[in-house]
Amino acid sequence: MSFPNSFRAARWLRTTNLVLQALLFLSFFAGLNYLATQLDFGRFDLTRLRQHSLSEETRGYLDRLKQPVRVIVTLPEKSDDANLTQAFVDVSELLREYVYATETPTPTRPATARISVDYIDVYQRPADAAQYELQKDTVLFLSGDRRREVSLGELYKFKDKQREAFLGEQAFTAAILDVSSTEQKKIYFLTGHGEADPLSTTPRGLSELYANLRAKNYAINTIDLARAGKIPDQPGEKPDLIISAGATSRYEPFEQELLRKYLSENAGRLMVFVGPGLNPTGLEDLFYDWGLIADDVWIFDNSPGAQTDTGALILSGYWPHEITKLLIESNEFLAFGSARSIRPHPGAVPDPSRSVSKLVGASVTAWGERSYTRGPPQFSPGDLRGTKDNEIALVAAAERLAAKDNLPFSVPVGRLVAFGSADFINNANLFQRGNSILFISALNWLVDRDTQLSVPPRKIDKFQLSLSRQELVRLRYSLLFGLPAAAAFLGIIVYWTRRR
Amino acid sequence: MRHFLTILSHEIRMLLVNPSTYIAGVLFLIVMGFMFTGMLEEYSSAPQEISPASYFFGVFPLPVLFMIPLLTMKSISEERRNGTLETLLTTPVTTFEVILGKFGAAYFLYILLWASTTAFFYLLHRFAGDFDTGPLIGGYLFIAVSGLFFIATGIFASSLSRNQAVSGILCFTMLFILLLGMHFVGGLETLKNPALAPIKTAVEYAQVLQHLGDFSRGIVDVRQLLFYVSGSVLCLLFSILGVEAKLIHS
Repeated sequence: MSFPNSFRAARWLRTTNLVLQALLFLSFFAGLNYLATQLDFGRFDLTRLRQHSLSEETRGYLDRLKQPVRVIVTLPEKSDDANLTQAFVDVSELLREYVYATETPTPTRPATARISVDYIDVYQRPADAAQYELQKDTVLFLSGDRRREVSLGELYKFKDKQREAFLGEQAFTAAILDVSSTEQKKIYFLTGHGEADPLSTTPRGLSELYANLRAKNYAINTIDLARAGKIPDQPGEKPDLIISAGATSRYEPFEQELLRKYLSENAGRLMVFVGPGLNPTGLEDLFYDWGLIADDVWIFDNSPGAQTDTGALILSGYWPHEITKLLIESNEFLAFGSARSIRPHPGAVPDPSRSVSKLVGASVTAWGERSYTRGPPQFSPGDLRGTKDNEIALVAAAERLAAKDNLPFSVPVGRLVAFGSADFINNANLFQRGNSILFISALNWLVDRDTQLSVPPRKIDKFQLSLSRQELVRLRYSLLFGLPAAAAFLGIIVYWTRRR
Repeated sequence: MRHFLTILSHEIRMLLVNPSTYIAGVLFLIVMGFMFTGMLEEYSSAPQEISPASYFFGVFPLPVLFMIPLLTMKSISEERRNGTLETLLTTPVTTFEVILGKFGAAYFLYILLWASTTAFFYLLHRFAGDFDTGPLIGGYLFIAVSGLFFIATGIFASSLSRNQAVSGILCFTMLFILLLGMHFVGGLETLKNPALAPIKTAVEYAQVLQHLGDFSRGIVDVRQLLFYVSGSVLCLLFSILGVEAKLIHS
């Protein structure tokens, strides 16, 4: 028998046929699953409150994403701190939903506009950490040359020092919008009056604050109003916020007028840090116009526990406001250096469009020393003193609202936050206690950052067994012995029946 | 397909009358019960943010790695070792029907064992009250769907060798690669190379532990369902081809 007609040839022919079939099935499997990655088959959330689904608002924004966004998480997967471990779980699970939502292109989103996530341990990968200027325990969003960091503190809402809600979706959506938009918010620091330098790395400098603002995707500039003669008003140059950080000499009247016009006519936002000792500040008329007064006093408090070991004032009295919300929730106090009083002006002309709020108050034992240049501090008649219901305010906010185009709601047309201390944001103090929280909260309120999002926080549900010891023991025995015994009993019955 | 139900019912009947099935069931329930009571200790000592279902299904790889090889290792191997497979195939029964029947029986027992653990949650509900059933449904759905793939992998391993022990070890290895190997490979720095992006995507797509995480949170992804169903079909087809190849060369 010739080889082609032999059994051996037939066997190998059939074997080849089987191998080819196997390859065909394998390619079919690969092709089908590849297609699955390119198409949106659906992802369903079976939980009662759909707690793992992205909100419609976030989905809407992601559908219009125009460029890729890279997310770098530096939270540790495992940590001795249970809160950090839980934060990693919450963040990674949420980011998975973002990745999934951008995996398949839509008519409004190009295929390249995806969200990708990397997890980097800053200690194990120092080169990457240096390349991306990574901080530990943060979530960094990158798109093109824009970046924004979301810190751990921004991810949770606290109540009685317990995590009450997860704010990740709001923070992440805001960060994605921020880095993927072509517009970058601009902050101008005023110079020329001895203000703290944003680039200075000295203890009095603001380089830490500068780095923090850059990480949050703000463009930082400086401006000397005396030299510039005007506040930039061209698109792309117009400031979203002006900061005066601890001037040591007074502002000229025309500079004050520039700031007043910027606030009132251009819906400007101003942050003023004015410590004690400067009188006049040159901003008295501006403050008066906005219903505030910066008293020429120096706040002292000699009660026990009112000062840190470095002599900074401990402040924990907050009036409810969007700016103080996080401080109240986290029950964190502030550590101010030298401070003066900033409060609503008692003689301000009433203005229905203006609202003034006290934010941070000193304790009832504190007083505002008027003769602080003469002798040691001691309360004397004529000094400023708070009461139990009316503490001395050290930080205050003012805003003007106006109706817009006959709409049933008002929009802010100018906002100002004045702080009676400039020390707490410098390099030496920014990360003391709740100082950075106050600054960032005020900043967010002033520039409306993230407030346009109405993504609801995710309530953190905790499950606990509230069983008595006896019930727990009963449950344990039911589980360990009851069910296996039932299975064994069934087996014995079958065995017995078969034997008979 | 006419004979599939005949083979399936016979295989299931053989399983149900076999004492080793009940021994396996008792041992499985003891192990899972032990894990579940450990979980209860955690929940009774302090409030936990993770749902009981997520916690419970977190231990899923451990029983699966041992249970699947034990359930499937003898399905084809034993038939081949005893020489009954060739005899069976001389009857008007196709290889496809035999493989599917064996697979169906093993899958039935797998589901039966896992279904018995629903009693844990019933008891928990009785003792501790209400909890979100979404993760519970998701978790059991994952067990049901991934079970198709894992059991099919076991059948495929069983079709490759006459020796039950070899089949069992082969199945364990395949499942280990699928469950934990992919997770390990996914974390390799090498895959971060842009040139290896398609491999990285494929590895990320096949992350069983990540799928488990999603399902046990109550999230059902249809693509993941497709992965397991298509994977099980592929393994069964490979099993058929494997058996036929052996028959050709025997």
